[in-house]
Amino acid sequence: MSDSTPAAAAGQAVSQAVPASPPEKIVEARRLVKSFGQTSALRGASLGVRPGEILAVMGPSGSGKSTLLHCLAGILTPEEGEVWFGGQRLDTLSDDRRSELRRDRFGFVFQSGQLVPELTAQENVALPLLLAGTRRGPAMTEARKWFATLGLDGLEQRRSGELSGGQAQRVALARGLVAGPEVLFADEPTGSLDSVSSELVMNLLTAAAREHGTTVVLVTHEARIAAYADREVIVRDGTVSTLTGAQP
Amino acid sequence: MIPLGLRLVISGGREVVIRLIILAAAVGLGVGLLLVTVSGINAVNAQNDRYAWFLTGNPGVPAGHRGMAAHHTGPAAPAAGSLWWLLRNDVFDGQVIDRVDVAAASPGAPVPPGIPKLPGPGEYYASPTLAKLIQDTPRDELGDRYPRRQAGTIGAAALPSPNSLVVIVGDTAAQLSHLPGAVRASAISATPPNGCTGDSCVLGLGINAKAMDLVLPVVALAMLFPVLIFITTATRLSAARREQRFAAMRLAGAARRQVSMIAAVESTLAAVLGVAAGFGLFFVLRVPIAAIPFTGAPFFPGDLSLSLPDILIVAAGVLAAAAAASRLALRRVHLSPLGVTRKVTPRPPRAWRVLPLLAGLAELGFFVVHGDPHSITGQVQAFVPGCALILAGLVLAGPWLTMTGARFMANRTSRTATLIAARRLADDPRAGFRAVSGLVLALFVTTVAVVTITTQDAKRSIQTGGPAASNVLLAVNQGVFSRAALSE
Repeated sequence: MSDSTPAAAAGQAVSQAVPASPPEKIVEARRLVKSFGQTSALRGASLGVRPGEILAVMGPSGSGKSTLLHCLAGILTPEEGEVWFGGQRLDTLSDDRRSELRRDRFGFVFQSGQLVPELTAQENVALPLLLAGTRRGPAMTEARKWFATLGLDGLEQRRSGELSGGQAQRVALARGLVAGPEVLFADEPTGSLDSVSSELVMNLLTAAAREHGTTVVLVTHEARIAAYADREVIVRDGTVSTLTGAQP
Repeated sequence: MIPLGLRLVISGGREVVIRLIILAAAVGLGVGLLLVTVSGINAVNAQNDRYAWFLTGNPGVPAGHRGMAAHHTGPAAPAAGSLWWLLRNDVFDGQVIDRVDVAAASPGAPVPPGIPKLPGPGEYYASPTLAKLIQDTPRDELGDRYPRRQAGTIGAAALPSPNSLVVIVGDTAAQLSHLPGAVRASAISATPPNGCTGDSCVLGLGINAKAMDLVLPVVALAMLFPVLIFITTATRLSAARREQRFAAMRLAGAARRQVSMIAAVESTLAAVLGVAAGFGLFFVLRVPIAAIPFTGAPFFPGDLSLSLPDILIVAAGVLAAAAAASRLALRRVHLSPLGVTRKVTPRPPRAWRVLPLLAGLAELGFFVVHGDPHSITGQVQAFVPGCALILAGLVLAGPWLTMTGARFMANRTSRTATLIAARRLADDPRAGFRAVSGLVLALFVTTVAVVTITTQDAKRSIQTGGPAASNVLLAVNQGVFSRAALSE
């Protein structure tokens, strides 16, 4: 990882005190390099996302778009380059601090396997609040509100195994939004759904994001899903190029 | 986090409950074995302590313990509160009967444990088993060896074992003092046989407590080893689902320590249930276990006792070990929010893993070629390290042997199913071997145990000389008797 910048050398405290990231970008990746064994996933990828924007990251399979999203969200740490969020360097934060960010300021909707199978749908939605220390009663009440919003009424007590793919994704969406995140990271959120369910999930996702002013980074390889976004970029061979809208 | 962890266990569905039950059962078995071992050591010492009074008047017993000076046969002036004492043994139908002849030498003579007063001339006290044997046997074969009148039965305090054959025969001081080997004593010995030093010590009396203290933990470890493997295997049950759950929680923002706490709650709950089951198992099995003649004679169930520190150490130790094991297990898992999606093929095991196994085999092989050490201690020192090396070596070498075998199979088979199975095994031989390691170790331990027991039985049979040695009365000179003398 490259730590040659003054901000990186000075550490987190300095980077928080003097934001070095341009304020108009809530999340920014700078020249990210990441590989898995012999396979290079990112080769100097750069990307900026504006607050409240819905950005679609497109690209063929294996292009590195999911890896880019994971780096932006602090799930993966790049070997080189920098990730900035809200004026602070993300990739140098401790695992605990990144966990806090995931819990309090980020939301996630992945393709599948993101719900805890032992918990009910309502408990799954309440999970980020419970992890943050909210008492069970208020957490469950807050979670309950999202069931009506996302058309999930009556499914509160179901386990993930008792939900259809579309229902499970909407529960995941509710969980992703329940803590009022600033950024929602969605990695192929409709990848395992039929077209009708995909449309429903995307309509709900974009509507909720716009209503709450949530920034969305959406990874997809489907053009019709990318069409819900304000802007699209394409990842190819580990680098980002602009497809529509402003500069990456 | 603790309520959430409990919630995950309770509502985890059938898989989680089965995993919890298997873990609790494995821990319970381990705790039960530990308790049996600890109580077994206590029982050996308790049994040994009840041999102490047989050493009354023996010059090998430290004077401080004996509280007296023994006067061997001869014209010595009677001391206040002393008795004449002669320890002998009979053999009837291949069974050794410990016979003690006593006679009050002066008023206030000490009384051996287990009887209310010294038997008078023409009286005897017999242990319950011997009393029954005398009653069930024609008088001319056994009863005629003792006086006519049975004054009572000897209590448990004087019996090393519930089936001990012991008789305390009353005599006159004048008569007994002239018998060879009779000694005059002013106190009953409280020193167990392992505290006796010198040539006068009674060979074969009591238990070699030091050897037992060494052997029992080794046996327990050998039995615990497969149980530990069983616990490890059980923790890997539904591991994929567990990892998926932890990954989902990490994605939702759970910190690593929060996930560790949830995992610890699960394993601690299993350990608590296991500890309770282990104590229950111990108390249920205490009576049947006491009946096993591990030292050559069964124990009283009460001998298999546990002190408060024993209980606290086992209970707290197991719970702490469970929490630590859960933490260690999670350290090996990459607790990423992405779960195990980026799993890579594990590094293959190296050939050095086979070295401890070879070393153990070589060590035992040396003694096969050059012969066994003669003493029991020497044999324990020779064979225990070899067996321990093989035991540990099997666990270490297992994955490498599995991989080698799987590669060999994969390179030669033309069947698709065999090829796939062999390749899977070769890719992750540790997981493959883990499934059978408990069985392999249990087989090894059982084999060693069976060979040891049958060898000991064969040696005992040679030592006692079989039926030819039966029905012999042995009078032993100078208060020293030897069961080994039976074969002479």
